[in-house]
Amino acid sequence: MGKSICSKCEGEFKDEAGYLAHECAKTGFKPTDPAHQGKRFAKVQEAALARGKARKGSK
Amino acid sequence: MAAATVEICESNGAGEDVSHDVANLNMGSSEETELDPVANPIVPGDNSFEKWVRFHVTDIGTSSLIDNLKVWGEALAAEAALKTNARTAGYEGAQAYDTVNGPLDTDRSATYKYSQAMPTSEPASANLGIGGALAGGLDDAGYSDYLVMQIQTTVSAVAGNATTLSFQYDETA
Repeated sequence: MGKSICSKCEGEFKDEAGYLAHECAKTGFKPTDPAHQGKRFAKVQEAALARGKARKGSK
Repeated sequence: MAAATVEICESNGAGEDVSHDVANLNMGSSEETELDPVANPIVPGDNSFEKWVRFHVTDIGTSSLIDNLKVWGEALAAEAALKTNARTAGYEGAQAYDTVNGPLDTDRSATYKYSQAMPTSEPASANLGIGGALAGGLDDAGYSDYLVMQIQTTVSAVAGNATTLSFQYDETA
């Protein structure tokens, strides 16, 4: 496996662990933090949870 | 409760550099992320370089499962087709990244199983697998199978094709 690159800040890391641990210079957050994805990502999360809940309810 | 955090990643080069959270999946005559399609056009009759893309859960939060991955896109204009390995039936399992050549612009659909047309509306069920199966899921951080794509054109293709790809997943709290 080659390097891991953050497309937001263009930081390069030797492995994925380094990427996940970095605080992005562009967003100010780590990639594991939902805030890294921007404000609209909360709507994506809500919709995914709603679909999961609906499927669980239908089983 | 904390929901999962996800992103789309693209792999490039024989050494497989992974670009995380890419802003676009522009395809053209160059093997690179976020390429400029005007500067790297596909010659009519040729193929784009393949895209090797994965859905990545960077943190699952307090959720227990991510599954039911779906991908679709608006149809390209005539004389150009977006081919993919994504499919709801007859899924051919996880494709292995080519660490000898990386993505190429030759038609390797028979090898990497991207013979399917990208669906133009939301599929009724999952069409991209996790762990090699459409019924697969992630209960922790991790990746989907590779979504392999290539634009294939005829000599009559015209410039300017664009489509919006949609990715969708279900999350169980």
